[in-house]
Amino acid sequence: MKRRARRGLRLAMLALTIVMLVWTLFPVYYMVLLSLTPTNDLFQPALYIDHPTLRSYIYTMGQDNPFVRYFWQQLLTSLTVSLWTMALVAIIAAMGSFAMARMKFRFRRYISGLTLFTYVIPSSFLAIPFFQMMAGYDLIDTKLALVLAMVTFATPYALWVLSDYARSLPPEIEEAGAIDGAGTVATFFYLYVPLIVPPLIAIGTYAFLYAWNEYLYALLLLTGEQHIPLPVAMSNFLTTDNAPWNLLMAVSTVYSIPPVVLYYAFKRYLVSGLVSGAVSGT
Amino acid sequence: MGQSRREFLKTTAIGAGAAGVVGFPAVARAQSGKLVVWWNKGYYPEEDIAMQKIVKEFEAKQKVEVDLSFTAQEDLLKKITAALIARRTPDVAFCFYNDWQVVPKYGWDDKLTDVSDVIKELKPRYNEKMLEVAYVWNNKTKKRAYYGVPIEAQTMHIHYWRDLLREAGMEDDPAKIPLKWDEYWGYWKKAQDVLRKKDPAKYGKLYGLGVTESTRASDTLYNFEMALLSFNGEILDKNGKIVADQPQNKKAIVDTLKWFGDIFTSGYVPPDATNWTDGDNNAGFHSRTLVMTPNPSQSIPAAQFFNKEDPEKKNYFDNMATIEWPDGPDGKKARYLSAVKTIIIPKDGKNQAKAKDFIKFVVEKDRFLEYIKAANGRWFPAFTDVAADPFWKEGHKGPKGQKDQHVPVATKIFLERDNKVFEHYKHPALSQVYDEFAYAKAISRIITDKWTADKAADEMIERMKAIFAQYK
Amino acid sequence: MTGTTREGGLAAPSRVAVTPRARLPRVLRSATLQGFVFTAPLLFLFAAFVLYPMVSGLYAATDPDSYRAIFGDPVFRQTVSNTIWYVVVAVNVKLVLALLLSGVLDYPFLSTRVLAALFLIPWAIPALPGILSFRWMLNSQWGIFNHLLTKLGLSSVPWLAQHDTALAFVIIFHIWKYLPFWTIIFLAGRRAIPSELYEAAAIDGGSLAQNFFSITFPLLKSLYLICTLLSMVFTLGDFTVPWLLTGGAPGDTTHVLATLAYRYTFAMGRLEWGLSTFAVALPITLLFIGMLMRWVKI
Repeated sequence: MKRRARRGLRLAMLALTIVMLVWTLFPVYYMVLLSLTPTNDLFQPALYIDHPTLRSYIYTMGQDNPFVRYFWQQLLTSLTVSLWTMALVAIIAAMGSFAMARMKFRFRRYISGLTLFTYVIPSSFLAIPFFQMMAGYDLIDTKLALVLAMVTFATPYALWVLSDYARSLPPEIEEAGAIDGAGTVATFFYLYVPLIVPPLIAIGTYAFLYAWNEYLYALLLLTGEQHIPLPVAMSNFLTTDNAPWNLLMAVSTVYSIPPVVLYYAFKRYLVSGLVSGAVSGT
Repeated sequence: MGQSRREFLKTTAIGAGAAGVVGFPAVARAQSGKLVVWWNKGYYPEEDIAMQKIVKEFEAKQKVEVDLSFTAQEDLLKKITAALIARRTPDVAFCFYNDWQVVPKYGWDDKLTDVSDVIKELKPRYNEKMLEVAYVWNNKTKKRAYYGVPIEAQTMHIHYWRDLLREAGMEDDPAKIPLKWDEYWGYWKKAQDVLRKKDPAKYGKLYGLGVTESTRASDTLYNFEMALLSFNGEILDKNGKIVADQPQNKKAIVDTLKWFGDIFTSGYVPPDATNWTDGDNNAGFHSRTLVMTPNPSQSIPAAQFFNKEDPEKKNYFDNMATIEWPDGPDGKKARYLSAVKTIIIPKDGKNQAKAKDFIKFVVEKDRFLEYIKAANGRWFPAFTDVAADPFWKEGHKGPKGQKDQHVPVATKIFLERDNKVFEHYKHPALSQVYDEFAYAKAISRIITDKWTADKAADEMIERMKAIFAQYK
Repeated sequence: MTGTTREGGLAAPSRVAVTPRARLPRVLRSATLQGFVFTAPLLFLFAAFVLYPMVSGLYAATDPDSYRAIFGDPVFRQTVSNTIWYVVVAVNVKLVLALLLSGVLDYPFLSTRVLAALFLIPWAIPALPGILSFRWMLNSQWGIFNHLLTKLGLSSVPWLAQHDTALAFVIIFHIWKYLPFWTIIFLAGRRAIPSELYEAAAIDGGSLAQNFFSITFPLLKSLYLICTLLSMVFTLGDFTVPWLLTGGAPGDTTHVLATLAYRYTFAMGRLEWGLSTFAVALPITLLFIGMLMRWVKI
């Protein structure tokens, strides 16, 4: 490309980048800004704070305010549900992808259809009957109910990504295993699983984030301030009188940190994992 | 390569077969004799602590285990609704929305336990006016009975900043503020004008009337009903039939809607009031962008009382006061509506007798007094013996001996003024009218869509009649 | 462990020392059975938690009275309109932007690399904090947007208090949050296009726009279409964003089907109405899913 044109392009890209960065980051910046604002200044809008204070965070950590009385417990609930979801999705998707990609068995296509269906159908459509079903099993207000829901909806994509990756692995794996006299199970554990670690990390992270970010099912299946995960607790702030917004923003920021950290830690895996499914699907 | 239709159907059939095996709802687990109590989370930790103490005493005395959980009110309403739908209910449920939503609707549907026996036992202690709220129609048995146990109430009051009035050079003593309808509202408008002129930089965004007019806030419904009473209108007759379409009531509705529209368009109500949630008028008041605001509970003064950044409670005792709703345009003294909070026992609960014992235990005089006092005057007790405690007459004492300007006002309203409970008990269709924020929508028609008050009233009444017609 | 990568050479698997064990009886060695064993948990999840709720929900939604009730509700009609606007506008604007942005990110400039590092943050952050931040910024009295407007001498707008702007911001938030995700999908799609095509076009002197229309877009077409279908289905079922940003306000004018169903069921206690509301959305959802199933392979 000609040099002047390239320079023009560079500048255009720079301008665009600045616009995009402002668009992308301003709400985040503002959230953090609010969390550092002292209560008295809360209602004076500004782009910067005169007297930033960490008091909101201190209240949150110390559970020193009726709104955050159960903060740690709620955080723990979010964490527990997310970790269980991650583990179960990884196991189920690993097993399923092994069957789908490496074994030739009769109903493979139906199962792939089921999986796609589950992936696509909006989870909110199933929320009410799901709730009724959980109520029928007396599982309302248990983390198990939420974990089951999260696993159900996160597994299809995980399966998709893993299967796709697995299909690209060389067929010699089973042969190598068979030569050594390994049965299917051994092939699975010793040969297959080690090979799919990269996308496994990706979908594990995906499953964790899926459960961490979930709102509707958490709202329906868990109630009572000691049982709810963080997002539900935060939305309860909204419906009360006197919601201290700076405190709410502090909780929001804390709630946002794990996903962002995970994302950056596993970015490489996550991006390639996410993408593989969609692209290869065409 | 995609799925052919036949394969998809086959898949579904296989799946459905598997589902049939798995999807058998479990039989209800054997009842362990534990009493499951869902209680509304209090606004102050002291309330919850007081309730926990009561529960511990009950457990010790009755040798029964209680599973007590606190839930925020919106969440709890949803939880109760969900439980009643799924028929997996607690034994006792206390939600601040029970009187508006749960008791009328689910009493009608025969999903609540008849507690007339409990009421009968407690009747001598009750403030009679508050009992009606639980006397609802059961459409299965085709008669009325008590389906809830009322315990505490809230009513409408108006809070204002005395120091803002002082700064405007206006009289700030509540006893000296004019109570006649036009003068009353004009008073706050004047405060806004004077202050804005005096210091445009500081008070440029100050508003005199913090009247919630939003379709997202229950405050709007309360404000409307209060104003309607001032204009002498009625929505229902004593049997729960709609009379809103009768000429004198319709005129009152039109006048009320017009009044809401006028104060808004005249620029004395913040433009955002049409989008306020229930907490936003509180926030506006605390941030001193409102001179006054009507609020149907004592949450605003109470928040100031507990404000950690005001240890001498200057705001509570010196800078703020509570005042009554003004006299109507016809000069008659205001009539008040009280929202009476009620405990229910779902019919599907497994421990009805114990549940009743629990409720009776909770409302025993001294115990209940301790609980309700922990709410710092936010609620007024439904029991006359509890209400006789000097706290209600005197409120808190200021650090410099100042008098309480808030709690006694509420007490006066309950004991000395003409008040009645909300009318949801008459017919559950009113609950749905509230669900749909019908009054608020009519107000929004006038303000946002610029309809005439007549047209908006017509639409509102039509919709109400349609809702009522659905209940056969 | 073998280092298999997606691009680049596939190394041969290492030999694993496994204790030879007696072979399983023939029937247990059948591929079908083993296939089932490995997919059993998956099938269980599907049957128990997707199929059963769906069937029982649809069954309960066969009551004609509830359809009569919801179709007669003016809120329902407005909700359908809102949902259509939301789905059509949000998805299409978002995907067009994603396509364009993916092109921008393909350039190896420093600025675009910085952008690439940061632009996924809206997607990484959970919806709720983002929505709360937006709500506060849009507040008519102390929101930063109105503050800036008044500083410029314009009048403040009650963003979330009127139907049009409130719905617009539901769409805007949706785009803010989900644009990054689809951008990387398209970016990967672009990366899959062999670079020889662009080189050939460069020889012929093609401009950016020409490259886009003659090379990039035709090759991304089916990916784009699939993404459109997928995104439409997801957006159709979106509860979180509309609910938390507006909650249906003002006056139940900004509901979408998912939030209205919730309201019918849990705020008004009308379970059948809630289920029927979802059932209304089902035909078109199934249509889209059917189309997707034809084109996508798992």
